[in-house]
Amino acid sequence: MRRNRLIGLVLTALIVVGISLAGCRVQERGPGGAQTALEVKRTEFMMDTVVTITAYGEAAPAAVEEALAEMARIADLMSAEDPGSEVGRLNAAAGQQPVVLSADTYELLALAQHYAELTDGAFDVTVRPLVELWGIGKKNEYVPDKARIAKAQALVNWRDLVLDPDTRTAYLKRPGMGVDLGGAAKGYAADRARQILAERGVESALIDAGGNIWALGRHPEGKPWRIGIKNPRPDHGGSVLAIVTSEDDTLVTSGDYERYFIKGGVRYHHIFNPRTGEPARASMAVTIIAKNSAQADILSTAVFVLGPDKGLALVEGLKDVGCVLVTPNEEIIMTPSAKQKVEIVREEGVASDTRR
Amino acid sequence: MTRGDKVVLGAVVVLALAVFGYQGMRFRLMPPAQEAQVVVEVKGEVVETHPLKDLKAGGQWQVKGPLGYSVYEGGDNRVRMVSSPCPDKVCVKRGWISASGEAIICVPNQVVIHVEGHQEDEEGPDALTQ
Repeated sequence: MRRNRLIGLVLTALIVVGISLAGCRVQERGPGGAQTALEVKRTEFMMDTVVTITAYGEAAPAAVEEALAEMARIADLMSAEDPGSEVGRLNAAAGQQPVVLSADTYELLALAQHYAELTDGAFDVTVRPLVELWGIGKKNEYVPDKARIAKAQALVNWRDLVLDPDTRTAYLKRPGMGVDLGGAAKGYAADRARQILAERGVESALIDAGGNIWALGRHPEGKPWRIGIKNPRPDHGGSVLAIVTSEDDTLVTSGDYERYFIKGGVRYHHIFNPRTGEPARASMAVTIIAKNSAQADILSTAVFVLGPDKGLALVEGLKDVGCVLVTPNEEIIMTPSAKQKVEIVREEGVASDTRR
Repeated sequence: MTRGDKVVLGAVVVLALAVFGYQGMRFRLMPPAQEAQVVVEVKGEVVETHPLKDLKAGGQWQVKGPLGYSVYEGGDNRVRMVSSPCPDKVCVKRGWISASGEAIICVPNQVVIHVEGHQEDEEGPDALTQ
């Protein structure tokens, strides 16, 4: 009887220890201690793509809601397809009058103009006439004749987009011109989402806006994030080109494989060279690693158009920006800052020169 | 049965429950390493999940979106969309996907098919920029 009671006491003690160990096990899963078990993952269709936010911690559920709502708001402001959006109204008023804009749209147009100047027009936000003409990714995609390309190209010139900070207006000088923020709005929206998540106390999250990634903080287990860069030609060496070890970075890729059609053995994709009026040919894929996703979005397009020499020189002159570029020959070129974070994992069998 | 026996019996039951609960929690937080999963979502909701290797080569499955049925096909550890009621067929042109983080996205029919590896799997990235 007494012995049994003793056994009972020992067992009870063991149970108590066991339960408390289990508790520790839960807590050691992440940086914030007890708040770590919770993962929130939400997906929404917007900006002509899919946006997924995965966030960790007690603050995550409300913060993710708010971040997605903010991204949807930005998407509604900046859609070139929607005649009722701010960009739609700006385009409709081309050649007629300036249009008053929200602070968001104005700020992003101003950033676009900054990079248009820096890249001598390789990034040009007034590319809309070419986007509409080619219709890539739409039902009516085709290869237009030279005359039509020339006509659309003549309407593309960032210098004819006039911004006035005092009235917060934008004005397209000539009828037929149009702004397309397809190469910047996803990045801007992701920046807003990141800001909201951080302000609400989320320390660990992944925002995936149609392949534009914001990796907030670190992985919930306290290690850095591992972000893959898609191999632009998965038949050559597998689907992942490289792994980026990342802490609080945004990664944006522009590739010729995202939206395209092939005709007569030629690939026609959605990133246009304003100089030629045709899809840009200097790169196969460009990934920018940075701390600002709107900037990264713009730069991925700009570097894609500029190609390896001018493009990488541009990036090397910018603070906190790295670049991984795949040439049309499938060579991989990186800036020195990118080399520290990027591990090439593409299987061999194709050229993989890593000069620079 | 003496009172002591009852105490021991009760303790064993509680211990068993505690261990069971602990294992359950462990399982939920850190499932054992497993192979890639194909996750099919409609309107942002997961409707189907298959282990990638279980999608038989040549086998076809359909999933209903707002526009109608999207049909996907399995093949040697990969998956692709073979037909879709959308106008632009971006999803069909996407071709095969196989790596964790890769996705086939049909915006018009609001269907997403993506491959998820496991977090413990050191090979698979946490996300994919594309």
